[in-house]
Amino acid sequence: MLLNSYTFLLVFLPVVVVLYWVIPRGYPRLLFLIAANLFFYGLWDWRYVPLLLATTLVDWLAGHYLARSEDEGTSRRRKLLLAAAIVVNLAFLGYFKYRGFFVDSLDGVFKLFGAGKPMPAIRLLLPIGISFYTFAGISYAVDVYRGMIKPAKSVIHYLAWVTLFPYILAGPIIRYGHVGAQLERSQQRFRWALIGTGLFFVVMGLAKKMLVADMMAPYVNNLFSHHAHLGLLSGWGAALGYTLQLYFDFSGYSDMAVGVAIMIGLRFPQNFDSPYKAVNPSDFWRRWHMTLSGWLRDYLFIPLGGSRGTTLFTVRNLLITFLLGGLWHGPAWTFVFWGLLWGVYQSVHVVAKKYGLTPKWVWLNRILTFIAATVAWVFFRATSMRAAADVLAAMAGLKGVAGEGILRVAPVLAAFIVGGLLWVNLLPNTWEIQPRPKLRYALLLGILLAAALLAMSKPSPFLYVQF
Amino acid sequence: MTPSDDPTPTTPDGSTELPLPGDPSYPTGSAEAPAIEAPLPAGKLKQRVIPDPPEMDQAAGRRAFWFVLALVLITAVVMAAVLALNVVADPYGSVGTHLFPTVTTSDRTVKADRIEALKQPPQLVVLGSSRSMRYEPSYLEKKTGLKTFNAGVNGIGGTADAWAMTQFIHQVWPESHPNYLWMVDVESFVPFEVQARTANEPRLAKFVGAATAGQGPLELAKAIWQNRTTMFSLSTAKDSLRLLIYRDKAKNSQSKYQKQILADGVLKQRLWSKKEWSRRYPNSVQRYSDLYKNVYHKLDPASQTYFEKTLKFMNDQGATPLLVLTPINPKLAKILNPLGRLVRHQQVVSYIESLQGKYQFKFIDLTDPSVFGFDPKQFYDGMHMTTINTEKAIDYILKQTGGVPPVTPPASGQ
Repeated sequence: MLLNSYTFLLVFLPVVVVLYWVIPRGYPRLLFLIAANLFFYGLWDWRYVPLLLATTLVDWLAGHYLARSEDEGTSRRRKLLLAAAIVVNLAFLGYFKYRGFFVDSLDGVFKLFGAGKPMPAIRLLLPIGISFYTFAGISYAVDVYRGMIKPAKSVIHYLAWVTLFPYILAGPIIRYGHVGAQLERSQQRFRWALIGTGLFFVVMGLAKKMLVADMMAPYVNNLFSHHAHLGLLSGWGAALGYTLQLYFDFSGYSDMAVGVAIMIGLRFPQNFDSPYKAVNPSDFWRRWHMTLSGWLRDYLFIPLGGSRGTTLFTVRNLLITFLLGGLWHGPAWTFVFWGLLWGVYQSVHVVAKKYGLTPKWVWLNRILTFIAATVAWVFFRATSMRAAADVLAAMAGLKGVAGEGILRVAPVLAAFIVGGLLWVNLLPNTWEIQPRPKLRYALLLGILLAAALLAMSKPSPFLYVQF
Repeated sequence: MTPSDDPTPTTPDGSTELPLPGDPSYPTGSAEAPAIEAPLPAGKLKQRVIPDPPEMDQAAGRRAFWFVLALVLITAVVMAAVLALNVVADPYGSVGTHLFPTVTTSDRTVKADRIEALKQPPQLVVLGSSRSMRYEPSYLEKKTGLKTFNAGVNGIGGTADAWAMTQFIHQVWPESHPNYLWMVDVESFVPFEVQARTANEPRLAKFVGAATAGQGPLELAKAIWQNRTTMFSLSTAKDSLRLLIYRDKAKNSQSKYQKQILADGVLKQRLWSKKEWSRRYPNSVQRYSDLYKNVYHKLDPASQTYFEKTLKFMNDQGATPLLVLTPINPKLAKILNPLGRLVRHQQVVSYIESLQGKYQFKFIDLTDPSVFGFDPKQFYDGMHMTTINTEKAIDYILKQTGGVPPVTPPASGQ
């Protein structure tokens, strides 16, 4: 079930919200929430529900035992226990998400040396959300190990958090210390303000997805599918189009997730903070997919040593972090390269900052960062390195100005690009708007909601669901 | 993302000196975070303040209720207005209000126009799905000497379309007694549904019981429900408005089939290109894989009923049709066979062969195109062939069947 489907918006969500508030607080409500979560997840493919439970319960068990041995500090036994939990999580993730990629890559290496038969290729259906719940689970075990949080009050609280339906498909990556703790606190009473605020976020997110991202998608897809025939204008049309499409798609999903969570009294963390207003690569990642960049910072970059060493040491850590961050998005060389590119951007910024070489003019910094992001998104979107190279060559003007006649940037796409650029640069983001219970807000949101629902004639999954 | 850039407060050991989640003093939202600025050892975490999303004033309970109610009502009103607009304009003829012309002219409409425009009745009629639309009447005429019309129309399934087309031709030319080259697909027996394009063409709809004109409120409601995705749609609303504003101009702007379907009913020749193949082949893999995985699990009795009804009509008119099971690109067959296509193919062949005693027809299975020496490069996608291959298929069919059987018109001249 997609968040942008009639079934979810008109049936599942209202039923769950009503029952959630009707059911008595405490364990009954949490049990109902777990049932709703598993039903929601199981609708996609019920066979993966046991996998979801098995993966995440490993972390709960690890957290349980780590908490009991808290007085041992950083003993070898605790470290082993934590390592085991992380290995189990990564093993599940690796097997389901990356097996095919590594087998294909190994095959390629063997073929290069003219040796070996092709390895048996098993293509498994990727359990939806595995990248998100695995990272959530790991963060739990590590936080308990570090003493950052107390372990979950009960397995019920833990499951209600880790399987939470608003985030399970595509994030944001929530941590027990934040959202789980809210479930532990005495759950609040129903208030219409919660529904009003939740609706505000849901409508804003749905409108971003259905009325902007999905309107751009056919044009962008068409340009990328003809990557070899693009010219300067169509190349930039493709890249800028995708840059905006992805932002409106994913920030739209995140807004919806936040809104749905608020309707059941939970506060999710912010995931986007006007990323295209960023003034340098580091700033960009404090604004884009904030929960992922926060995760990578806290559970990868800092354990690697962070920036507390020489510049070279920092650069090494940045490259490793972003390389793995890229690979997290998907088993493909384009993602690996995309991650590496961001690692290079960050490294260049660190070095430039150290030697005082960063431009002083804010707008120039913003433009440079935006162009860097746009170039990187080409690798993120392209289906192969060859396709990415074609688009970049077109953007560099190496394939002429116009490209093939049929691939001119459609006026509609051009309008969306101009409008989108103005939006992301000049307007406040959803978190900067204070929802107010006023009629004019209701009127605007009602029209937006109706338009978004009317644009939902065929299923179109959010882009990040595939990760 | 580098921690040194981050101004959020830290704790020296990242552990219990700060309040934990769940503690009354745990900072959430606007709460003030403890400001400890000591350096953080590698591997340790900062305790970060996570801001809450902006919310409506919690005290504004009553106003919040009215806000939610107003929002829901406004949404419902806008959606109802769009529904009303789409039902009244009915730009695709989906619900059959027939107050305005439709903006789309389907291949059914064009074929019906072409049949009505024929100067003399056809002696041979080609029936079938889109896969039959490039079997050229001119080539058949050259080979058989029979005046031929291609009445094939788009859409998987379509035994009801074949029925409607034979009936319509008979209605237009009641004295004629054509024979038929019926290109049957393995997928002709998918779960039955009268194609919306057929139901929207009144000249054909009446033969399949799908005519929608003059329906009552209940039928209208049912039609709206069946077409709810189209009716609750912004793009439909756009066409509805265009229709209301431009009327007939709107209709002309959408009739792509007017140019593509020639006077003898054949679909205009189009050359094969690698680009076209790369675009279309993956779509056919997806489409037919989904069909076999999710829909086509057995032969549908309603499709079989239309199939036999049509055969009986043809026989009653003195015709002995040539039934040909259409070819499939071997590359696609390899993918679909394990998904159930092989079994369905056997079932279709057995079924048609089982009708041999009951009806008069000649049957030939061209599923494997290698039997007529096809050119693998002359498939547009997984199913559709260029005329280079259809001509080879025609040669093979005529050779194997000894030509089109003569028609013996019924004595009563019905």
